[in-house]
Amino acid sequence: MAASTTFNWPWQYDFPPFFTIQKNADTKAKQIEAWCTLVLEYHQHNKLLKLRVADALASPLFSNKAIERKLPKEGVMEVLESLCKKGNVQWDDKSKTSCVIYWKTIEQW
Amino acid sequence: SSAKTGPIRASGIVGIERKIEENRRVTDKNISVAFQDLTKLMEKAKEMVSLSSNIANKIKDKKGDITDDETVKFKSYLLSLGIPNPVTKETHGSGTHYHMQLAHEIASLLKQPLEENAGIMLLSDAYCRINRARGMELLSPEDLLNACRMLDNLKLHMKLREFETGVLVLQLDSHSDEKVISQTTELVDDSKSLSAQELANLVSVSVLLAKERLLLAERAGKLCRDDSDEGLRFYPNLFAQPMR
Repeated sequence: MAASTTFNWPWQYDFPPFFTIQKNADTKAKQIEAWCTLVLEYHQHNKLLKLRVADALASPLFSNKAIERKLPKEGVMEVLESLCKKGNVQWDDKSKTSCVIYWKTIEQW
Repeated sequence: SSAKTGPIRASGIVGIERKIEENRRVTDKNISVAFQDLTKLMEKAKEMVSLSSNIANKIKDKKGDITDDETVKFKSYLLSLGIPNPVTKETHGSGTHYHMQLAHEIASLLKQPLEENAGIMLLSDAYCRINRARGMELLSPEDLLNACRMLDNLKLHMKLREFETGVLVLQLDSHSDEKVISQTTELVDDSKSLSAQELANLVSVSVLLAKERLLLAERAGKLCRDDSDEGLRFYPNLFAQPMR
């Protein structure tokens, strides 16, 4: 079941500002968009469905050890909310501690 | 205190105590005299204040006429009393004559320093410069602020500006944000990333102004931020040009 090839991280992953939620609205929109794509591709590549927020904070997805940056919790939540709006994420509970990630939205299936 | 009086020369501890007692009585008297005078002065000032608010009400009746001599005079009276009340004053003459003259002085005094500092200066720096140059009859921060508010209307080639962070600066009319933004972006591009401190060293401006420059460029979408334990750094906005 393990991924046969290594995951290709996008260029943003090595760009430190990627891990700080941007103040400029336009920039932030582009940043969140890039994060959404990354989260979906990462889960698809590793064939993962479930995401627990507490675990995700420590996973390589949201923290880049090489440049010592990680996305803060508010950032993670914002990315997941944005994915939720697109229909790629479904929360398991009201307190939003874990969710299911759909690589493709219901419509796309 | 001791009841013994007379020309006995007191010596020893009793003498010292008596001397201290005497000193205390003198200062006591001085203080109470000073305070009595102060209360009298304050009573007089109180009369002036009530009188001036009466006048303010009268002016309210015939409002609309801007900067006629009466209101200007009235304002300088209020200023000398130390009770400028902008609420009723604003509609009867904009600012004071004094502040207007002050604005002229500020403009001529700061023109050169501003040009040397790329056309921009913190208001607190301006305050230092002016008061240090004066030595006596110093300006209060409020006076400076009020005078600076008029710079633009008086067409003195500079104006007061407030950044979104609340920082107040004086800037020359020739100063352009676009130029600063492009220059800042270029500098950041050259060195991959910069903190406010590093930029301040590069272009030799104060750290506060350097930070405003970076924020300005960020707002314009030219830079993006990296906020970590190491501090706040700014990078070229690669998000805006994703085809790399």
